[in-house]
Amino acid sequence: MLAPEWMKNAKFPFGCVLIANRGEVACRIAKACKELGLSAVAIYTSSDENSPLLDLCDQNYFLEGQTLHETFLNIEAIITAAKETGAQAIHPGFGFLSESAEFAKEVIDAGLIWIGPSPESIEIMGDKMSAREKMKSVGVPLVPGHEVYSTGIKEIHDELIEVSPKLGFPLLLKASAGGGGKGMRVVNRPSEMAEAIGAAQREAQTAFGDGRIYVEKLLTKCKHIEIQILADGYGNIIHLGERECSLQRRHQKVIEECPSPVMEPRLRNLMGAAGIAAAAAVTYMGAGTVEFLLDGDKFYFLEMNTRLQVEHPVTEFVTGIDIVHQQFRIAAGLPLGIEQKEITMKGHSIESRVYAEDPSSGFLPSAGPLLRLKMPQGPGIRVDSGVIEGNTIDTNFDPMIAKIIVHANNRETAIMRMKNALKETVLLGLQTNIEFLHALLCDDDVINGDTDTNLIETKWPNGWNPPEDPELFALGAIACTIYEENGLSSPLHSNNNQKITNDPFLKLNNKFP
Amino acid sequence: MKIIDSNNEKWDISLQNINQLQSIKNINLNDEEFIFPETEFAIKKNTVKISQGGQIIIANVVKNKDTWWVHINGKVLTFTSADSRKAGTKITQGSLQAPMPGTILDVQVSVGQTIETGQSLLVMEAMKMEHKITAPFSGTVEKINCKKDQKVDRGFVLIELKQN
Repeated sequence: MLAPEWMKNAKFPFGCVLIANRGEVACRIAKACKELGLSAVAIYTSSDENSPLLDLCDQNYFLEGQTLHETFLNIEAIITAAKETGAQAIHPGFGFLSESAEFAKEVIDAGLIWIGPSPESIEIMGDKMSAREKMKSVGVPLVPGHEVYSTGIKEIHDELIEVSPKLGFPLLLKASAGGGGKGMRVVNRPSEMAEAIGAAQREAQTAFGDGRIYVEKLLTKCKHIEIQILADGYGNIIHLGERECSLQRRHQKVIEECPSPVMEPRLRNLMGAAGIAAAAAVTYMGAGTVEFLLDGDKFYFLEMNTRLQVEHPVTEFVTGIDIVHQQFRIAAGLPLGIEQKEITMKGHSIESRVYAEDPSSGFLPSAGPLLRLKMPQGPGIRVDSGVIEGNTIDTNFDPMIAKIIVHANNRETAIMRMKNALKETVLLGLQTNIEFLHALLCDDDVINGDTDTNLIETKWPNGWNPPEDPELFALGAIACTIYEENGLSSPLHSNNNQKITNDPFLKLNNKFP
Repeated sequence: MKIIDSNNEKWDISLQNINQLQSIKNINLNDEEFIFPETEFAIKKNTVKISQGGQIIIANVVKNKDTWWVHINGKVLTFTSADSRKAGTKITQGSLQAPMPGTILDVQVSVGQTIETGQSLLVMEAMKMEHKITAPFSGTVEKINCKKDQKVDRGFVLIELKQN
C-alpha cells in the first residue's frame, strides 16, 4: 500500500496500519486512517464478529483463541497479522499492549513502524517505580511514597510496615506496571496490609502480567489534572493544556473536562512546563499524558501515560487539534509544525464515559445484549463508540461501552448540552451508568467545579440509586402493557447477534393506519 | 396486564381504545387504585408516544426473556411479569448470589466449614476487576454451587450458608 500524498516528505512513510485493539478506540483510529488516506487492518476474535470495526477497516484478521493472552495480548500473533496483511505500521490504541515496551520493541524489530514513543520511554514511564526515580532526578514534584523492590508477600509486607509511619495511613498500593485503577488497593491500617498486598498483586498479575507493587501516601481532597503532550522526536515538545479528571469511581475516570474549572493561566503554564520536563526526561516521542494530583496550587506527578488516552477528545474539541492525526504524522517522522504559542483553548468540553455497570449495586460490572441503542446527535456532540445495536457486552473486556463528548462556548452550556445528550441516549438490555452520569452533572459541587477524586465515593459510598418516582414507574408499566398488547416485539433475540429480518412493525401499521 | 417493577411493586393495568389512541381504563398499584393524570398513548414506529399535560414523551420498550426494559425521558426501568416471579426459586437469606456476571477466581471455603461475619468466601472477576463475596453473618457453609474458573450470571446462587 502506497503512502498518502501528505507523507511525501516524511522520513518513514507508510500506507497501511494495523490497529492492535478493539472497541471504540479501534473505531476511532480506523476513522482517522480513512480521513488520512491510510488503509486500516482490524484484528478481531470470535467475541467481535459483529463489531462495527470490521466494516470500518479495509482488512479484517481473525485471531484464534479465547483468552486475552491468546489474542489481544499476543505479540507474536499480532506481528504475524501485520506481516500477512501487508501492514507497515501498528497503532496500539490504549489498554492491551499500548504500554508494553516489549511489544513496541518487537514491532520495531520486525521492521514495522510503531505509532508511539520508543520502547525505552515506555519502559521508564510504564514502570511507575522507575518513572518516580526519573522524575525525582529532573525535579518534577512527586506524591510521597516508597518503591518496593522485594518480591515475596512477606518481604513486601515487612518493608511497607517499616516505611508506613513515615508516610502515614491511609496508604495506596499501586501496581508498578499499572494504570486504570487495576491493582490498586487502599490500606487504612496495618492489619489490612497483608490481604491488600495479595489482592493488588493478583489483580496486577491478571491485568498486566506483572505483579510488582509500590506504595504512595493516599492524598485525599485532590484534583486529578493531566497535561496532554505532543513531541516529535526532533526536540519539539508542546503541551495542549490540561484535562480535569477528578470525577472517578474505583480510581477509574467517569467524567472529564477541558479546561479545568479551577485552572489559572499561571498554574497552567507551570503544570505545562512540568509536563514538558517529564516528557523531555525520557526523550519522549508522540502523544502522551502527564498526570498530576493538584492540592490547592501544589501539584504532584502521578504517572505518565505513554499512549493515546480515553479522554483525548475533550482536548481535541477545545484546541482543535486531532491528536490521532498528530500521532500518525510524528510516527512518519514529520516535524510537529505547531508551536506552543499557536495553541489556543476555545470553549469548554466535557466527556462522559458510558459504562456497563450497575450504580445501585456499587457500580459493579454488568453484561448483556444491546437490545436497543440510540446515541445522541446534534451541534457540539461527538460520540465515540465501538458497538451497534445487537452487539453483546460481555465480561471479558473493559466495561466502557461508549464515550459521549460535548463542546460549547462555556462550561455552563456544555453541562446543559451533556445532560440533554445523556437523556437522549437509549441503551436497553443491560444496566449502565447513564442516569448516574446525569445525576452527577446535577450535583452542586460538580456544577461549581468543586470536585476531588473522592467525590463519588464520599457522596455515594454504596453506589447510587435513582430517586423514587411512582408516576414514572406507572408510565413504564403502561408502556410495557401497550408493548405487549399490541404485539410489539424486540428486534433481536437474546443470546443472538443476528437481527430478525421481517419487520414486526409492518403489521402494526396495518392495525393503526 | 400484571407486571412487577424493580422495587417489587405490583402493577395491574388495563387499557382502552378511543379514536385509535390508547388510554388507561384502570391502573392498580399493589391492588389499590393508582391516581394518574389524564394521559394518551400511541404507537409510533417501534416506540410508545406518551402525551400528558401538553407534553410529549417517547418511551422505548424492549423485552428480553421475562424482563421488559423501558426508557422514558432519560430514565431506564425494568419490569418482570408477575408469572415469572412466582415461578422463580425462592432466595433465602443464606443464599449468596453473584452481584455481577463474571468468572470465579477462587473459592476460599469448603462445605461444612464454620465462617464468621465479613469473612471472605470467594473471589469473582469481571472486566478485569476483582470482587470478594463475604459472609453476611456467622454460620456454616451448607452448599457450594460453583467452582474455580466457572462463569456465572448475575443472580446465580454461589454459596448457601446456615446462620448460627
